[in-house]
Amino acid sequence: MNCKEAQSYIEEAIDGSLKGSCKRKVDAHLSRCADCRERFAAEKAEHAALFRALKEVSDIPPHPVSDADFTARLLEAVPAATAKAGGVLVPIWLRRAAVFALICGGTALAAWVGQELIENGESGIENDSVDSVGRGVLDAPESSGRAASPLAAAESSLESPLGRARSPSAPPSTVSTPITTLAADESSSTPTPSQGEAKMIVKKLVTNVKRTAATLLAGASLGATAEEPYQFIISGYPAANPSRSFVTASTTLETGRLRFILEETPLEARQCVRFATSGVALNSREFKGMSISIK
Amino acid sequence: MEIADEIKQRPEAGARRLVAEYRERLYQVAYRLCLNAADADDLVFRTMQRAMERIGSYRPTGSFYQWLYAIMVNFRRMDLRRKAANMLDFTDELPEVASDAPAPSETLAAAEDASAVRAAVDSLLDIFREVVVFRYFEDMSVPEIAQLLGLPEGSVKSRLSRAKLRLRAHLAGTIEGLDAFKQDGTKQ
Repeated sequence: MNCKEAQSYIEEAIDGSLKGSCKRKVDAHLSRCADCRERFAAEKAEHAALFRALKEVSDIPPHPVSDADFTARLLEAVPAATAKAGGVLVPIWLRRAAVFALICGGTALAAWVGQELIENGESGIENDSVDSVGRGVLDAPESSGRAASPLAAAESSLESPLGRARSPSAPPSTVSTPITTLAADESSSTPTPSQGEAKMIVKKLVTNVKRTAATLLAGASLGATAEEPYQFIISGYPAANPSRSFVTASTTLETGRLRFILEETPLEARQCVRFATSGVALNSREFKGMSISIK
Repeated sequence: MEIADEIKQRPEAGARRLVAEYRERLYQVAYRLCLNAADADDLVFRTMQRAMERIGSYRPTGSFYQWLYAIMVNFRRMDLRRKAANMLDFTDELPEVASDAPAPSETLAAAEDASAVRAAVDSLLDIFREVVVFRYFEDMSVPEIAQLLGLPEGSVKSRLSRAKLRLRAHLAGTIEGLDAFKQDGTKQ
């Protein structure tokens, strides 16, 4: 292990989450590299200082409402039927997990299943030759297509203002330019998986995204009541040409298809959508500043 | 009785216990995220309301705190998304190579005035403050934060590393130093 590799594990070394052979390699490197030992020690000292400053000394004002009032308000806000949410959770969670993995996952399995699910849509996008404004269609099984949004919202809301910041004048909801519809190549389309097949795929994905279980659960909780159609917004810019930023918007149709409206730079946007939905990391050599948000 | 069971079986007693046992700590974290008492209190309220409503979805795989934090983080992110004024501009790239970054400075570790460090933390962009708060206030490990925020561990490390770059610059007290760091925290 060289200095670069060893230093990439500094945070884990500090919090003790470094385990197994990795820990042995880091330890071995530290035992023979004075520079890294010094660096690790300095980082540890910083960690301690931050910990002290945030944890041990509190400058936080007391909360503005007394516990009694807070509790009374809480009980008022939560109707008596507090325990009924669990019943519908699992299917919703599973469905969200599938799309979560499609959009955010970086694993081979997610990529593979993502490919299976969107192959049809991809071909539609690839075959497009419209060069001004186009509309691509990504097919997704109905269940996952619709259920994706709340989780995506929870997951990606952090990044979402970027898209708006880059194209404030063209919010997706106000698209009024003529739109050319891209017909997906029906002859080469993959049949939408049956419900049973979809469940199997989703189960595999869930196994694969256990790491994010807490977030998924919370995402499912947050979105369980939302019934309105959602809109995905994917934005970013080509690394080679940052001025050509783009925003794409999708509408969720009754069929469960995600339809992306591509604006401004359709070629890059199309590549970007394909990239974002194929289960690989959002940012790449080709695209930067990418975000998926929900509207 | 586990808090989740109590909320399910006796919502009123459960709510009282939730407030008594969890409100303060949630509020402390919420305050660091929101930076004002009213927003923080509101965030905690919505988190607890949602937790009560969705208690059926709680699975005791992680701690109850982690579950509450996950709800809180999502609410916070939704708030930020709605808040047009709070635009974030960053690129979540692969983790930086640590050795390319400036080494830890003496300033941060030696800062005797904890309030200066807190002010520096408060000055961070939301995405950086988020990881810093869970890392240093809640003392969570990288894998724990990754799970909570739904980020790859590499991204957590990358954000921590960038956050620290900014903190060092901030504490060095040089506006030039701060300006030398781009929005994404890398040195120009």
